[in-house]
Order: sequence, then structure tokens, then C-alpha cells
Amino acid sequence: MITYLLRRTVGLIPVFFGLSLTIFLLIHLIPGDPAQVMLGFRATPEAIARLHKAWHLDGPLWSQYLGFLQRLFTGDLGDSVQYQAPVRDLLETRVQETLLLAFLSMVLSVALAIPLATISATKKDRWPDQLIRIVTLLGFTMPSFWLALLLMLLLGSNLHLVPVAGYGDTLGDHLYHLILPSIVVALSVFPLIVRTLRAGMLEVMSMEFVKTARAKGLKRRTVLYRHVVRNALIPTIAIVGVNMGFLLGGAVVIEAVFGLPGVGYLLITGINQRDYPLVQGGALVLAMIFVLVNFLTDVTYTMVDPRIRHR
Amino acid sequence: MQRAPLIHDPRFTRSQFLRLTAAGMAGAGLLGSGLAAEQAFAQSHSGATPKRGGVLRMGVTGDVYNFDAPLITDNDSIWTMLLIYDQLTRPTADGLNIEPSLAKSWEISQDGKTYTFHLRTDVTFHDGSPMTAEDVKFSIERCVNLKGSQWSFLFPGFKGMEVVDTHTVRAHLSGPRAPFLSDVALFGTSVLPKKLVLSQGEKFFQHPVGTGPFMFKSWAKGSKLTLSRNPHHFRAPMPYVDEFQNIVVIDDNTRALQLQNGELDIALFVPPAAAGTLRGNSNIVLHQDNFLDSHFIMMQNQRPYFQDKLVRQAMNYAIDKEAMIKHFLFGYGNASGQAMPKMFGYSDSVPPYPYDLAKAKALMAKSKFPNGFSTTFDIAASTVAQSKPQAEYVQQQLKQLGITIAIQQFDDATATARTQSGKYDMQLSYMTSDIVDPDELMSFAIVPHGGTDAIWTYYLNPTIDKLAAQAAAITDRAQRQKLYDQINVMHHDDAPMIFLFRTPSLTATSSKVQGFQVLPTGNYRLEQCWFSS
Repeated sequence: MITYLLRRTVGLIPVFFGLSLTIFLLIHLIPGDPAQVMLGFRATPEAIARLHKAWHLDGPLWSQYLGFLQRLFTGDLGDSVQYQAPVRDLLETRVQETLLLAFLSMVLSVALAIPLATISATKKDRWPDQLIRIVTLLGFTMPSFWLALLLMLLLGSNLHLVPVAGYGDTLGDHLYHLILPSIVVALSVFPLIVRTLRAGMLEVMSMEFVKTARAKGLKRRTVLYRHVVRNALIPTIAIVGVNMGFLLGGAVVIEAVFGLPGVGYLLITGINQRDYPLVQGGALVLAMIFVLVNFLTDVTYTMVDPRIRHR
Repeated sequence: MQRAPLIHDPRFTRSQFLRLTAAGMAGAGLLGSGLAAEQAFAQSHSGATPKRGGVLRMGVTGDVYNFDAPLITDNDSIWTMLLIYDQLTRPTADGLNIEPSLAKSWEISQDGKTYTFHLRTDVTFHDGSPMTAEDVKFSIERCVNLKGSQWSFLFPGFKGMEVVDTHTVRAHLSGPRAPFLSDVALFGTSVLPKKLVLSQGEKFFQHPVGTGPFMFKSWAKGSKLTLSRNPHHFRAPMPYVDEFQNIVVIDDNTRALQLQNGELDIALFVPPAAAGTLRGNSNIVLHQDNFLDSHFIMMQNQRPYFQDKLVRQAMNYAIDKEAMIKHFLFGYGNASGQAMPKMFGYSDSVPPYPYDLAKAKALMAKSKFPNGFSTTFDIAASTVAQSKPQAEYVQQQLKQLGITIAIQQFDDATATARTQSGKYDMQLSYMTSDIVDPDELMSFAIVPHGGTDAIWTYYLNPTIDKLAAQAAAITDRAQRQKLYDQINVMHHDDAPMIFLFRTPSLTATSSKVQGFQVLPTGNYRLEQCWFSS
């Protein structure tokens, strides 16, 4: 187990360098000059040159990249051009918000998905299964921003159970404000989990060892949770992992609708303003979190299925 | 002043606004107290005496970028800055004139080259130090001379400020300049504490200190800015509220919902589509205020087909402005036939181009391009939700003249670069003014040699160049208006752009909020606001 973890950890290093290079090149290769954007139509060559120097945009591309790496290792992501503040500070609260939202939504989706998938699989083709399949299809196809608005009207405006939007100031307040967004995100993610898990369980249930387990007198429930669910969980974990990663940067719409100061929106404004340091720093942090989530997913596999680490 | 895509509609996205100053009146004629009028305004809405206390929470479209005034061009920053800083003068609430602010009165020399300002003696900065002529000199000269200042172009012929005594300061110009009194109302000239700025450097602007009604308290960048009441403000007893929170809520509908749910007290830029619902809510007041804006479609007049005036006129006749207002703005708009917003310099005598397809076709048939032509239409990514349907409408309409339009979407930076290098063919655009003098909007969008190639339409008309220069040098308002009328008539007839419409500003507040008003210049004087119980 330890050697497996070590091997995987060392594997992250080239990934990091590859990521930093890709991100750096991508933003620098798009046409458009941040100094020009910032100065607007009153830009003079002198003013542009001055800004380039201040933002480390002078010199050849490779030396800019080395400078970027060098500052990176000292924990300096640079200063945002548009906010004129350290990118690290800007990202700090937003990454926290984004992670919190992604985590809450995932917990909620999984908590919702496992019992539903179990019911669906055990009552295959009977009415509870049909109902669950319809509900998941609805959840999956309904645009999340629309669902968001409906729930905001219902739970926020009409019933006054939760705040409509915003993030609050304390941790308790954050959680309170994130209830509605998490529900919306969970509703659009859980169908995928239900469908995968259901399919997996059906497959496992038809296997010989399940019949053996039942035949040797294990309770139906024990067989279900100890053998069937556990075996069907492998592809599900992969789905959860990928979706978690997606939520980190892809929840932009939800963030915008709920007025949440997340990373996604910050990056979009950064891209529009050609705020190189902000986009570089933000994308890198997001990408690294994504890589970490994948790493954790792999580790979880090995816990659920010890066979994997021996491969 | 603003234009898209460099500068977007603040209703829809973070904007990079170019705002201009000005005010046509130059004279000491209206030194009446703006203060009394303002307090009267605060009372007028309910007839009650304003009450102290409360936290005012306002939902805005974007956060402040920076508090270094001369460097700033975006509206979110500007309007917030105006709550923290003061200037020598300021526009009146009706947007028509200039009234005293830090300067309680002024005199203009006979030759129009020297302005002597008498400062209020009761003004202190938020750190308790008194505001003096030194600070004024420092701040205005900084706006003009600072490297990277976006606003020095407003001070042609500015020679410098002279400190006469602690509370008297004099501006020297090389020639008469009608808009000068409004130039010193510009946020860029905000009076800053010289000592603090010099000692703290850039750090000052992360924690700004001014003389305004609100003091900087805390700032979570990108999400929330909190300002506290300045208890020593010279417009006492204002401000009435204890605290002001500037809360960034990107989504228009969310802002409206939060207001309905009591999570906000004011929602700026209510989407016209939501206005109807809000109007029916007795806990909410919908404010529809006059806004100095003007929407149009820019054309690159160097393109062979746009060089033909008949083509340009035909295009103006082929667009149904009323239909656009009805469908895109839900009726919140007025068709326009000129580039100027409805302000000093606007000509009542210039009507919108009526929608007349037959006439458009006839003009097209007479032009050098009777069979039409192919062209492109740029839209910027961040405005796409609003601009794409409009562009598609224009595309459909002009198809009837044989004009084939390809709509192209660019990210904002690229769109800006294409505009400023004249690489675009057509694009939607609009500009606003937080000013009351037409000089700058004229220079920006109409006058060929005003510095921006007539908002990059590359329109040429030497007569307009001459008339605009004349108008900026005389101080008589009626005479200036006559010259601007001539310019507007000519510009309308030459039609270097497709004139579209003007829109009001739509803001919704809780019915508890009293004394709220959006000025025609787009900003708001929150010191006048108070809560009724």
C-alpha cells in the first residue's frame, strides 16, 4: 500500500510541470495584450512598456516561464492585474468557497444516490424503479440555472427557509448560505451516480458469488451491502471523482446565479481582462486540486478493492 | 462615457467605463446651497424627517478594482469611489448643472484663464486631518500628471494649481475652457490627503482615506466592500445610515430575488424583464430614472460600402427601433436619431430615423451597392446574452437590403483590440456620461479629430471639427447649444452609425429605503438614504 502511494505521489511531479507549462503557454498564446486592455484607448507605447516590466511580461517567453516557476516555488502567484492584489489572497477565500460547495454537493448526491440506486436495482422494472428512473432523468436533463431559480423562488422567496444568495461571513453562515446551491448541484449530479450504481449492482447481482452467498444462508441485506454495493462502487467512485473535479471549475453558472464569489467566475473575468497572473494562478491551483482529487479517487479504489494496488 | 465592447453595459457585466466630466455653465450664478436641496430631497419622498441608523445593503454587478481615481475607468469603481472621496464641484442632481462641493464658491477671471476656488473650512479627512489647499493642488495636479492617468486628456491647456492660502486655490489655464468647472467635478480629481498618499504610496489605495460621507472599513475583493458612516462629514447630519455594504451579485435575477427576500435593500440594474414582477410587489419600489446614455451600431466608415452615405442612411431606415425597444428592452427605452444622450448638447429638433423599408430599398438602389454586400458584425463574449439577439435582429433586417452579415464572437480583449485598430466592420455600442457638458462625448463619438476617430467610425467632416472647437471655447450656453444643434443635424444626416435608442436606469429598492435616487450620471448619493420603520 505504501509503495503504491509513493509511486503515485512521484507520478504527480511531472504532471505538475506539464500543467504549469500548458497553462502558461495557453494564456500567453491567445492574442490580446493585458496592458492594452488595461490602458484602453489612451495606451501609449511607453505606458505599455512600463506595465509589461511591472508584470514580468518583458523578455522572451522561456524566461517569463522560468520566472513564473521561480516565483511559484516561493508561494508567489503574482499580483492580479485588475485587482492589483496578490492572486493568492484573491484565490484563498474563493477556493475555500468552491471546495466547500463541491464537497457539500457531493456528500448530498452520494447520500441521495446510494439508497435510491439500491431500491432501483432490487426492484428492477417494478414501479419504484420506474419512478426513480423518471426522477433521475428529470434531474439530469433540467438546466441547473433554471432549477436554481425555481428553488430560490420556492424555498427562499416564498417559504423563507434559506437565503436566496450570498455567502455569509462565518463558517456557520457559509454552510447556511450553501444549502440551496448544494441542493441544486446535487440534484444535477446524483442521477448520474444512481444510474451508474444501479447498472453496476444489477451486473454484480447476476454473478455466481452472489447466488453462493445467498445459498450459504447470508441475509439478503448483508449480501446487498457487503457484496453487491461494494463491488458496484468502483465505477461509481470514478464518476464521483470526475464530477468533483468538474464542479471545481465548472460550477460557474451556479456561482453566478447564487452570487457566490467562486474561482470559476474569478477566472472568467480574469480571462476577459487578460489578467495573466490571475488566470495562471487560478488555473494552476484548480488543476492541482483536480489532480489531487483524482489521486484520492485512486486511493479510495484501493481501499474498496484491494486487488487494484497489486496490479 | 462608455462604449462596447471595450466598455460593456454595466447592467450586464463588469464594465470598463470611460466617463467624462463636464458642465456647461461657467459662472458663479448658482452658488445656492445644494445641501438644503438635498436634505429637502431626502425628506420629500415620505414627507418625514430622515432617521439615523441601519445598514444599507446594495447589490451591484461588479466589484471595485482599485481606488486610485486617475487610473480608473470602470463604473463600479467610480460610483463607489464617489461615496468615499469629494471633489471641488459636483453635478447637480438633475444632471444639468454644477454645484459647490469642497469649494464653496469660485471666481473666473475676465479672460477665462484663471479660476479661484474658495474652499470650505470645515472639512476633515477620515483620519481627522483638515483638508487644505495643498491637498487640492496635489490631487488635481496628480490627476493631470500621473503616469497612466486616464483623464489627463480632459485638461488641455492646464498649467497648474497655485495655493493662495490654506483655503484658497487657483487654477491656471492657457486659454478659456468652458467645461473646466465640470472637469474638477470628475472623480479623477478627488481630493486626497497629500501627506498620507505620499507616505503610504500604493498601499493607500487599498485602504483609501477621503472626505466623503462614507469611510473605508473592509473589503473582500470580488464579493463585498463595507463602508462605515463618516460622523464628521461636512454635509451633516448626512449620512443617515451607519454602514453601507456594496455586495457583488453578478446575476440580474438573483439580485432582484435577494431584494424580494430581504437580503438586499437596493438592487442596481434590474433586468427589464423582471421589472414587471417587481412593480407588483408592495414591499418594493421600482425607480426609473433618467440616465445619460445612448445606444447605436458603429460602422467602420473606411469600408468601401460604408463610405457611401446612401448605404448608411438606408441602413438607418431599415432598422425598426421601436420593435427593438419593445422586444429587447420590454418597452424601457426611447428611439433616438443622434449620438448624444438627452442632456445639454442634445438636439430636440433631430428626430429618430423612422422605420421605412421602402425608402431604405430606394436609397440602396440609388447607391453604389444596389445589390448589397457582405460584411461582419462583432460581438464581445461577455455581452453575448444581450448583444447576440440584437445582432441577429439587425442581420435579419438588413438582409432585406441585400446586405449579408456574418456575426462573429470574440473574447473581450480581442474585440477591444479589433475596435481600436479599426479592424471591425459593425458592432453594437453605447456610451454614457456622468457629466453635464457635451464637449467630451462630442469629442469621443462625433468629432472626427476628437482623438478616438469618432468612436472608431473613422467619420470625416471638417465642418464638425471646426464647430466643436468653437463650441468648447465659448461660455454662453445658448450659443454653444446652437453650435451643437448644427453638429447633430449634420451627424444625423451623414449617419456614420445606426442610431438606436436611449434607456432609463432601472433600480429597485425596499420600500423602507427613503431618499434613494440614481443620478442621470449613473451614480447615487447614498448619504441621502435612510430607513423608515
